[in-house]
Amino acid sequence: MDARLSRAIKAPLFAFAALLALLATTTTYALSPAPGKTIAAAVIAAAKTSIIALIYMRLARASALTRFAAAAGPAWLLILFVLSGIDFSAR
Amino acid sequence: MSEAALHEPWRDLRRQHQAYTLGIWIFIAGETLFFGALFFFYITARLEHPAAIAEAARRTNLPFGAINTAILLASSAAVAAAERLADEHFERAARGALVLALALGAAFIAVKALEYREDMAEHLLPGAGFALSTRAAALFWGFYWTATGVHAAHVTIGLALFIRILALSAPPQPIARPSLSVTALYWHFVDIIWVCLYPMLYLVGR
Repeated sequence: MDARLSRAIKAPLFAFAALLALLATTTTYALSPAPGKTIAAAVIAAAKTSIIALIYMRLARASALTRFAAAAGPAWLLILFVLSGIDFSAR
Repeated sequence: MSEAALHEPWRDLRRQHQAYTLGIWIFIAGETLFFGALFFFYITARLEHPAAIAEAARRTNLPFGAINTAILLASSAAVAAAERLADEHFERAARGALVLALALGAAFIAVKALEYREDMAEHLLPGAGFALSTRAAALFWGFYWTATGVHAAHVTIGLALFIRILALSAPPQPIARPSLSVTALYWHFVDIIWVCLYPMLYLVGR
């Protein structure tokens, strides 16, 4: 295979393999009698999100401006969750 | 004229690409807040009614959910490969990867349709004739239909965008680059939303 061609598809394929492994892990763990299933599912979902964002969405190699724009959504979401969470817990 | 060409008002392709990328990331920030509000609703419902939500969630079809997650992850991998192949000027391979992504996205919608048909047959739509008796079950299934329905609408829009890119990139035209990059980011975001929905809907109460 052409070296340039294999280099182009290497990262997406490795990321896909990792994502499939994480999907199998989270499903198997959820079906087991193990404790802390909710935490484990949340951690694995966060890991999958990080792989997609860093590799597929190319944030690992993005400019500072792009990373800043990408961080805007999670930052505002954090504010929404903190303020709404305070309201919810105080009721 | 190819879409790879420089458009008004940009001075060079690099700056144009930066502007397109920045624009779609700002759009994604808005979408993050939209889905985030839905997720917050789910979290509060689950904190208030943990046992009833777990019991209601056991009625979702885990094999359908797991298969659809794998399909969407594969579709995202195909889009990511298409973008990188286009970067290296493997135009034909890039088009092939995009067609694969389109086919996988369509397969996701087909599986979702089968799942919806089964859910309807089991009377899992809140309202008259709802199969479950608790208020929490209605909250969970209300969230299920809303979140998966809005997500499916996003997938359908993504498929339309793929078809548009393929139409713009018909040989001898090169791959429509700004559109491919922007649509790829949108598609990966749709993938992330499903990655979050999967444990919330299919793994609870197992």
